[in-house]
Amino acid sequence: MAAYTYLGKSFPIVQSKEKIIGETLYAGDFRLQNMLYGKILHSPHTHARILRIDTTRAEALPGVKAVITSADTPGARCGRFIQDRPLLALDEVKYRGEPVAAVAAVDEDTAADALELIKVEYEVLPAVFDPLLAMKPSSVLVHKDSESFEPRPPRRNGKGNIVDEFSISQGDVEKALSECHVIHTDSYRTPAVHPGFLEPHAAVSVVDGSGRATMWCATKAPFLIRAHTCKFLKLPLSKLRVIAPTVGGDFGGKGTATVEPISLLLAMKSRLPVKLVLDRQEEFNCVPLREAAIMQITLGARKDGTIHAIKGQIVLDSGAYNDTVGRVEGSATNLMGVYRIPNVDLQAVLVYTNNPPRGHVRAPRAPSPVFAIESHIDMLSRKLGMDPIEFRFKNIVQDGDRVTGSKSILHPVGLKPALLSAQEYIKRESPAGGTREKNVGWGVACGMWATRPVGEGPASSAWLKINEDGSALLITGVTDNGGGQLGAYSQIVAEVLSIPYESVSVVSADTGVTPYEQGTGGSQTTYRVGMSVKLAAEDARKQLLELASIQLEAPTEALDIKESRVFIKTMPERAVGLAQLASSSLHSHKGPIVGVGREQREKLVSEMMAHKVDVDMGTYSTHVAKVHVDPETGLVKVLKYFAAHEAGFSINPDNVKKQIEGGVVFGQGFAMSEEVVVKDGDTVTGSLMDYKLPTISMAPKVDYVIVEIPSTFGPWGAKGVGEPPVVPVAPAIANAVYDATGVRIRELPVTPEKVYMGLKGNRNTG
Amino acid sequence: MKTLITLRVNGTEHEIAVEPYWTLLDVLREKLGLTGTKKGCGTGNCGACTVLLQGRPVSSCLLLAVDARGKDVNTIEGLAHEGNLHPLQEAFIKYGAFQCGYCTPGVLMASKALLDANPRPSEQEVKEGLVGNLCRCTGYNRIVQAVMAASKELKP
Repeated sequence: MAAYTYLGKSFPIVQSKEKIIGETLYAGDFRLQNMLYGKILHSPHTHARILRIDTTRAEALPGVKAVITSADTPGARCGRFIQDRPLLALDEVKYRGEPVAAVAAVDEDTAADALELIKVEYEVLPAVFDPLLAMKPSSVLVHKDSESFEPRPPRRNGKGNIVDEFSISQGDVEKALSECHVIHTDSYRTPAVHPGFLEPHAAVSVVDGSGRATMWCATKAPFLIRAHTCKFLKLPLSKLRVIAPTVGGDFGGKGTATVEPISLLLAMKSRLPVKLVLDRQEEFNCVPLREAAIMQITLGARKDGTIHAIKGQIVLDSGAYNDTVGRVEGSATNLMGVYRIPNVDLQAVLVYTNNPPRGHVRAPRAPSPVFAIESHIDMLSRKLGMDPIEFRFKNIVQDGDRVTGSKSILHPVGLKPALLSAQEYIKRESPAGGTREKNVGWGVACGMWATRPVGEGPASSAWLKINEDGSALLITGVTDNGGGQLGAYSQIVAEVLSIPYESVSVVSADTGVTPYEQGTGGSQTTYRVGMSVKLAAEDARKQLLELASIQLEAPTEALDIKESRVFIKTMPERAVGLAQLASSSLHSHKGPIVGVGREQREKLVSEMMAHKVDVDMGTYSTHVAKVHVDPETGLVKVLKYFAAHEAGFSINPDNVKKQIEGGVVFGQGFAMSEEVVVKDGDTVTGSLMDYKLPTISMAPKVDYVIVEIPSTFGPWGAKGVGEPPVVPVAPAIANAVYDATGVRIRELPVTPEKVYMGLKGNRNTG
Repeated sequence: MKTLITLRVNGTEHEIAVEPYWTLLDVLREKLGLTGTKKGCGTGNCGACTVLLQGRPVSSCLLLAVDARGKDVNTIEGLAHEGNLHPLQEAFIKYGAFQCGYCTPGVLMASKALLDANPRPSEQEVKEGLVGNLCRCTGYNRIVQAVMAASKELKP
């Protein structure tokens, strides 16, 4: 076990003091001279043709400096996967809430008044809201022109309103089902949910006299914002600099360009800086939510308890624009859960409807199918008369198993130790003698999350400047939305160079300064960006050693660095300080020392191709929930919660713990209280009064265990943990409610009403 | 039609012209440049805008600026004293009780009000006192631990 000075230590997050005294500036806190305030006009109709927009009265209102519609744009469409969404509605609006126009005025009140003076004439068109209806060839079409959307990557099988379809099959399911001893069939539903960040979307844009624009915005992907803004507004990339200051929570929801290009267009038209901040109602209406899902599973097992076949379908509501929802393989494969199933027939369908758009929310594509399969596994085990944990042990995937429908091998798999520690936790926490507590139940659920994307997206890179006093400046495109990445990467630099942690500064998330970064998220930031930072530090270290070897007259192999000094290992008194090396290099023909690191993606990809191993593919987890259900009211209280998570080396152990603690409560919202209610395209939940984010009184204390399994290619074996804790929470709680009451909730969230109705009436209602 | 009012914020008096319908939150942020207090929802549900009015926690997004006239307003910017962090702030850093930091000013002000009124709360009382503050990042437990630790520091 290596002894590190800075790695493996829980330093407080960067900017701790600034955040705690209220000094940190988030995008909405920026104020520029003569700044205007922007506001968006939203469509009141779910599907309508725009006949005419009259902005003259709005433009004439004193204090209004710019009014824009799609006529002010080239009418481009953008999207991370399929490019279907315009900035402002073109000839038709596709959902209630779609941005149609925008104004910039001297204050918010004037801007709001100006919106009321914009006259839009609509011709209402038929709309479709139910994805099951929208799937049918006879359905009203959300996009008549969808064939013209640029697919990125190629759109498969999409017909009519179907955005994407994916099927996975293996073996002979019908034959296998006939061989099963026990079969269970059921349906499940999950609602649309909001990422729930506390800081709303915000952007401040300004254009200088030469037409160069700068934008500060709440985003986790400044380079994507730049690319899409430039496409929306037909600007050369070199004319726009996007900076992400401290972000008040992202959770997947700040990775797409919605309000940002609008603020810039207003700034361009008014020739003044413009700040545009969404209010909470707009947050529910025009920025992506997690897609709602409708699922069916038929699962069969043999008499000995081995799962033999699965047949299932998941239908996902994409809303009116697909934007970041992407392709649906993950949704289909997640229906299988973490189990060995020889006969498989699963289908996923993603469908356009006239509901508000859907997109990435923490752990995209996993929580819904995992809720279904983990609830289902529980029911099948009970039908077999087996203990739900023993049933899982019998069927979980093992290290070395082949990935269904592929030649790849799963490795490593830390699921068994996770499940074991969950089982031990229940034994430890349960009353002695096996007595059951009244109205109390235990639930278990397993999860998997893919934290490593091979070949997808650009490789990460980082630059490290060594200042003439021996301190270092790390330049990285990554954003830190609260996860502590900037501090963790400073720890990497400090460790590799053996300089004090406090002497490392970071410049980040600025398209005008930093290298390209695809954005923080996917639980792969440390795996990729951390690696590029390590390599940049190693490059700087190499240059310092080469300089020192000249000065100390010894080969670089004979040297080492400790506490900012390079010394000869066998004669440590022969040494030279990093400050002196950096300073003398600067003033010599060599110039300043800059380390460059590029994530070695080709190495990873070629190793994987060679071994055909899905190396570092997923991280596994097992969660346990202990709940109490009040039989009079149906109120569910989570008394205890346990999470066993596979994680690699922890650069900052506290950062890892924080993701588990926060991720579980995030998942608890999906399980118990959150639902964006949309009725016939109308978003009914418009405030945080209606939309119930988890409160301090709901949140349990989260006990956890780390199953330490290093990644093969991450820095020092690190791997991601930001999303995995969200994945199995809902079924752990739903299974616990069933254990306590015999009531099976099939439709999230698990509310007191549903539990109460289940207790009073049919035991098996959802 | 604007009225000239005097607001006393963190002990300093400010004379400003305000519309009668402006909220204290907007005046603090947009007119006084005190952006530490945040707007999370605008409807009094998230607690990010919590400030102290005469020592009691209020949702400044629901309070009219004119109603704060002549009363002491305390915001996050006034919590540290001459550069020295308040024990609550020290505890929050020690326990890692924040991540993105957006809810934190509101949580801190609500916690201060809680401890001022109840210097030795139980964990349950801390939860009741902070139930009006939403946090999406932390899962809340560290916030409870930090407040409990600060209470012991303030009143050993």
